[in-house]
Amino acid sequence: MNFWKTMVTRDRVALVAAAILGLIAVFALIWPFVSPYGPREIHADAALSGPSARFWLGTDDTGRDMVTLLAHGARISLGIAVAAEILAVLSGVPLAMIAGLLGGIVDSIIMRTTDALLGFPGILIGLMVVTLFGASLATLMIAIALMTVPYLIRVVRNAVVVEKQRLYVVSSTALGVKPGTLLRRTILPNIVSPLIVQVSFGLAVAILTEASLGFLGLSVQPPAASWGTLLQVGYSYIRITPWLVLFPGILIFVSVWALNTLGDAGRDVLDPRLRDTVEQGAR
Amino acid sequence: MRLAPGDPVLAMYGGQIGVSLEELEAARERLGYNDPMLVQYGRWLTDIVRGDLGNSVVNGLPVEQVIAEKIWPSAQLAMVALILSVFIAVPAGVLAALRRGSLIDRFLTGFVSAGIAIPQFWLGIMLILVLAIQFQIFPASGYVSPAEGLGEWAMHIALPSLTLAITLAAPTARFVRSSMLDVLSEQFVDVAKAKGLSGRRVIWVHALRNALLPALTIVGLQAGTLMGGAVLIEWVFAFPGLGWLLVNAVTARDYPVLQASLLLFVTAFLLVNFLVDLFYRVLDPRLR
Repeated sequence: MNFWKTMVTRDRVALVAAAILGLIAVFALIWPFVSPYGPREIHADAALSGPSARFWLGTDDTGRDMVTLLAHGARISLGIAVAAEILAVLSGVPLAMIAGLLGGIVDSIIMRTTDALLGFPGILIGLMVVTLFGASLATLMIAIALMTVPYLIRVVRNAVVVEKQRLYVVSSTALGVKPGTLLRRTILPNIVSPLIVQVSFGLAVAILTEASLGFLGLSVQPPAASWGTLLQVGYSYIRITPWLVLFPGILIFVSVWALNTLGDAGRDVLDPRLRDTVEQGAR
Repeated sequence: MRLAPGDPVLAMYGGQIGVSLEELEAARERLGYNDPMLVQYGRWLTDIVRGDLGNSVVNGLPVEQVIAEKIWPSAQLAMVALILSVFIAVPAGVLAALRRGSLIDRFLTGFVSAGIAIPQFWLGIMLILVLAIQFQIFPASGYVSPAEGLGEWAMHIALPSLTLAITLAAPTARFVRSSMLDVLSEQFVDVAKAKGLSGRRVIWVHALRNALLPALTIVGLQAGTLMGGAVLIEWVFAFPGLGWLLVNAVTARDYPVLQASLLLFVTAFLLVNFLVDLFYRVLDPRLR
């Protein structure tokens, strides 16, 4: 916990970022219970209406309350991002640790495959997977996980390579600790910090990708709405109701910024020398 | 690709009234969609080797022709965006490095983190909202070839390329800044100053040349951003390039076009990365 304390006390921007994320999370969790409207409640008399006392941020093309849609959209967008990132961690971390510990040909195979995926335009991976298996929640998560996992594997693998030469690992091996236990009990706790930082960047990429695919109509299908699909609807009415395209975009922008900023701050704490380098995160 | 749900034959005849089920079935048989998956894939591979990419399901034109007419607009967009981004990023990065900690420097830091976090296509939409709808300076969509009029061409390409350039410039500017800071602390800069060269010449000629070398790395990293970004940006601006074609093929289930354009994207990506690698070796003999 010392890691987080150092990070937030030292970096005031990180504190702001954490506060923003907290606010968005609270909004997503609480608002659906507080809202006077349901996410599928249609007000035909007020379709595409502007911000008013009745609908604070206006309504969409079917007359649904925008604030309520944004809160439910937050649950879907952030939910997909978190689920995809969990998938990436569960599949990527074991692979990366094995590559780092074993080295040699196993390392080469895993890392060369990772290199091939690295930097490949994410939206294309998304389009391929979604076209191949149809737009469902599961394929969406797989596509997003596939995009963020190469960065995760690289960071974890490099951390393991550094750790395995440390004295505590060498002595554990000498004491006869089995490789599996060594990875889980001895090495894993020591690489948690870089892992968390990378997950922060990964979540940012995941939110951006879901938004892009949603904008193309390849995320959740109506009447369900994510921030990305709300943008799609807003964009088709841009000349009539420009505010519809404004709010989901701001939420995406702000959450991605906050996650990147937290990631940057975390990395600065881990290694102050990296302060001015370009992050490997978004896109 | 053929695993995907949705029926290309239905999409092809979609909207036509009075098509019988027998006609649909006959079309499926004729186009080979009833053959086993493996047979279809084998046929596609052998056709590619023979240089035949098939015909578009939507309009029946050969895929080569459909794609060929989209390559040129996309290439123009990418080049203009890249050049614009360098013109934004290099001066901004150098200025921030020279006045480290100043207001300019802090403004750049803000611009960089915003530029990385903003969804590219949303930035495009915002630019349309302000510059095309509110103040009708630029057209909101479309493309005019330079042969039809350079002025019109520039007006149409301005917004999409500016959108791409802003998001490309953000990480580049940060890279130029840090690489400039490194170079400015090196001895040869002091030597150049001691020789009596003007400060401006030292910075813009001697230091910048050395700072740009490592900054080139970012160009390779951005090939992916540029291509991925172009897909959505072209869609937003209804810009008839490869990205627009790709999204269109996805929605129309036009498999021959979809397969061929994905193949083209992957090849282009690998080629760019290979060229960048080669370029480093030429620029920096230590890498050989």
